[in-house]
Amino acid sequence: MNRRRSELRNAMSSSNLRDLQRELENKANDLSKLQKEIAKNHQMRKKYTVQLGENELVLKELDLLKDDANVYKLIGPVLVKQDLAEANANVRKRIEYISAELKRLDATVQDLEEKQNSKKDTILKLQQRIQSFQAGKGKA
Amino acid sequence: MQQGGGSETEVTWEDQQNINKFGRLNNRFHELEDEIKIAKETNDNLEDASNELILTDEEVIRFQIGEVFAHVPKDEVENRIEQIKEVTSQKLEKLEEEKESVLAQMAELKKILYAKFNDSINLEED
Repeated sequence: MNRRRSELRNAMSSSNLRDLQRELENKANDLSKLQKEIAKNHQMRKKYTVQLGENELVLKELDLLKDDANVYKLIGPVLVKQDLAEANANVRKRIEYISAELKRLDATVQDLEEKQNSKKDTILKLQQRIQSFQAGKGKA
Repeated sequence: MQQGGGSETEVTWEDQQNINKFGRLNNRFHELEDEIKIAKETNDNLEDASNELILTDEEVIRFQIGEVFAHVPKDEVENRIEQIKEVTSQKLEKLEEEKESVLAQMAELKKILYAKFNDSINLEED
């Protein structure tokens, strides 16, 4: 009778352990996805930062020009004459857009990093539970 | 590729060849997607350039040849752009055809490999 009971207890505990390990695996997969998402966002942020720098440089150059200066825009393999005021407006608009995108990306990254930290905490707690479970089993 | 949790199945030499072929096709598929994207962007740029040429008053256009810009008559630039567009469109068509062919081959290999290995193999992307 006692043997049956201990066998039953062992079966239940190994089933619990399996459940915990499965949960840990799922959480680890979620964390991995989050990290990929964060890396992707960082990559985009880097790209936008470079573009912002370039556009600000262009704006500085345009501000140095006289009103009658010739400005050209590269479209495909062709340099097309463009109105200075129009070029100025386009660059400013682009800077505005890129700045807004950067702000949005910063918020997204912050949110993702918070999620990542909470996931890490959950995983750590799960690992501790599994370890204590295994330690308990070892003693038994 | 992730590993499934299925039962043990013997992997023959032929299976290994199929798995390797699937991997190569998958790599080629991604290369093709990138090339198609670039070709489409090039086509769009050429289309924009054509439209700008219609609107411009200048008779001599600064046209990019390699690293430099040369003064080329407007008519000639229009002809050149049309030629480049034609070449790019043909290239795009070929790339699209190859992509379809690669996808078909991958689908066939998936069928074979999943039939044998069930969930012991994962041929899906994350």
